[in-house]
Amino acid sequence: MDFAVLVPYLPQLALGLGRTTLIAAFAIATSLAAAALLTWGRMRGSAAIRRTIKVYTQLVLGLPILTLLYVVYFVLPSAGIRIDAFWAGILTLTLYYSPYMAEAVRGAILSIPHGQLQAGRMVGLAEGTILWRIVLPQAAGVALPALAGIAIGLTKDTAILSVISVQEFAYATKQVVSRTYAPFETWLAVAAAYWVLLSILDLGVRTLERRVNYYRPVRGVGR
Amino acid sequence: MVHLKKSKVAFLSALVVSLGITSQASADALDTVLANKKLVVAIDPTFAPFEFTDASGKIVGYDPEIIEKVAEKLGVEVEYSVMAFSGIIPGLIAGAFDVTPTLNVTAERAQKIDYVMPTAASMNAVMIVSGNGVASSSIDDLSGKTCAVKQTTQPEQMMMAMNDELVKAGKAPVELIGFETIEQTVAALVDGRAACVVDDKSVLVQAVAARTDAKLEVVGDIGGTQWIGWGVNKANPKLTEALSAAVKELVADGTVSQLQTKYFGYTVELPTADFIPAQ
Amino acid sequence: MFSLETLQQTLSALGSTVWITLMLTLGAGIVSLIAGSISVSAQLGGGWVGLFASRAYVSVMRGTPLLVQLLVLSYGLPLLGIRVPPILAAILAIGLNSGAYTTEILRGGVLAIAPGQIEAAKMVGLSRFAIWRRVVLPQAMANSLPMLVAEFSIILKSTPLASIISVTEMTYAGVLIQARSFSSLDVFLPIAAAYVAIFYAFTMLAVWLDRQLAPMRG
Repeated sequence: MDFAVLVPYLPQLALGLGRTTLIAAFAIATSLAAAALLTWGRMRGSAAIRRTIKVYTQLVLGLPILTLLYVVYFVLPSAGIRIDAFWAGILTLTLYYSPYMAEAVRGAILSIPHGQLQAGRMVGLAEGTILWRIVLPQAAGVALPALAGIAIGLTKDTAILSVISVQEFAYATKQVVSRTYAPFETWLAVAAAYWVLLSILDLGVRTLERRVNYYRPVRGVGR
Repeated sequence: MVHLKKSKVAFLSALVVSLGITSQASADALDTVLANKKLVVAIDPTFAPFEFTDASGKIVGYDPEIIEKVAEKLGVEVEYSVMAFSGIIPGLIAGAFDVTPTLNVTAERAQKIDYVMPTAASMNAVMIVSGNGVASSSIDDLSGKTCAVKQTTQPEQMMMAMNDELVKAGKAPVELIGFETIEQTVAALVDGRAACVVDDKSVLVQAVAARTDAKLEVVGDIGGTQWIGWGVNKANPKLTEALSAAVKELVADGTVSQLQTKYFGYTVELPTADFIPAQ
Repeated sequence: MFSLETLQQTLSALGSTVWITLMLTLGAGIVSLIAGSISVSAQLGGGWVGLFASRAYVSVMRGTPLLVQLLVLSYGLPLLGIRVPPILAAILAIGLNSGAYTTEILRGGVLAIAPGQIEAAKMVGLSRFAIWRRVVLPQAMANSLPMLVAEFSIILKSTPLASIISVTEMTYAGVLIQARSFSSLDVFLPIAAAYVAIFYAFTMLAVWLDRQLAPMRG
């Protein structure tokens, strides 16, 4: 095995890895925003909204992301909706991952004991204050591990965007393989780079988790 | 606490290993092909008229027809391994299959893989949607435009080399977006995501004929003529030789030119030696 | 370009490739259960070496994209002189990937078992291995059945990736039809619907199994 063949292509690979990081960060942000909307609709929306969100969630849960990607990029144009590869990628990741995130957030909110809300109302806090000061800070701690797992899944799935010409890490790698003719070495090195990226993400979330849960005696966390 | 017995682990790994796995000796793949009576052919059948699938999903086309005749001569069956082009040369190098058809013969690739004698010639061309602002296939007219290509193919690499020249001359490079199939590049063109598609001319002509609704047009050639051949791993010179000999026989008895007329509408003389271009 | 002919071709291709998709799902599910059981056993009863090996396995599988794992395995095996049928390589890669998640699922299931049961099993003279295999693992699986079925459906959804190592399953069959029909709508929508249908068949099976296994829960 000769990893030296990769040296001339390191800048190209680094650029791809950088793009993957950006795409993932962006898509995590849009998915969280969409998840907040879905959660709100599911818990506070009208019956019609709740039903629509439920059907949508079940539909997405049953679809492979690759198939969804093909639908967004190749089928939507026949309905007059044409999106660039980058945005099609962000949209697919968001459509796919926001229901998962919404489920995690909803579960966390439901885990806050109802008595706390009543107590908040008794002392005369506004509903918004109860949400922002009592429910969300605690729910965030509960939801974080699940959200982190979903965010890691999302980051890994950026690799499939290469099939619709998004020039991220896997796309760059295919290009490099077509020049180095060393597929095993190249993909192995790329796997290591992904692993480092995702381990950093994982570590970051754990640190955050410890902070968020600082005041709460959560099992074992932070000790 | 409880330890898993070592014998159990050994048994499981033995089971995994024994499930239909053929160990490849370091000998030439020709021996394995003849012994198993099976030629494993990697193919990306999304490239009509060279290789495609018919309405029933069967793999057909110019090269599959020659390959099946060659296999018949060797007394073996053809087994197709279907995948996107971007996976084919890497798989060939790794040794995941025996041969792959319809590769442009390039000096760069010839350093890493062997070629069976060419079966066809290829000229790249530029396809556009009529009136979309691309005046001709000259590289200066493409400068600054977005063009769709197939990932990791020779047309893509040719365009990258031309981009280097454009940048050197102080002009804007062609923005290349890569897909896995020709249809997907055509979709990008028709949907307005790309201003042109660059690939083999006979493939593009076929696409123009298939998409009568889209006002597609081949505006002209780009780059020089290339040979199209089949690729074999460098570890298997005997296999390459046997395949070349069989193709040569099919050329001699007129089968190949007959197939050229059937699939391309013209014939071309094929070289049997010295067909690798200079760097 | 919607055409009835393309739709018909898609449906017939679905009919012939749905078996490949199911075979991939089932095969990878079995590999996942085996890998997950071995890994959780090593983690909980394999001393520090087992713990480290299991953690490393989970970290690598969770920390790299399945697409990359598939490629590394399919390019790596031939280098070792082993040529596996692509479908087997895909089953192995998808199953090993999922095994990392199954490890975590089973761990939760094991920890939920009442310690008294293990004491009782020791009392009646079962060996440690017998306790693990007969008492702990089956209950861990029963405990975590809903999660395991969820994992199964995730496996179903990762099977399209097998196409990159030349397994023509449902989605790639669609790409091939797209390539000759120059049509997307009547290809990918029926395929999407097929996945949703299979997914819900699995879900219903899980609910049914859940009811059947309820008495076994510890």
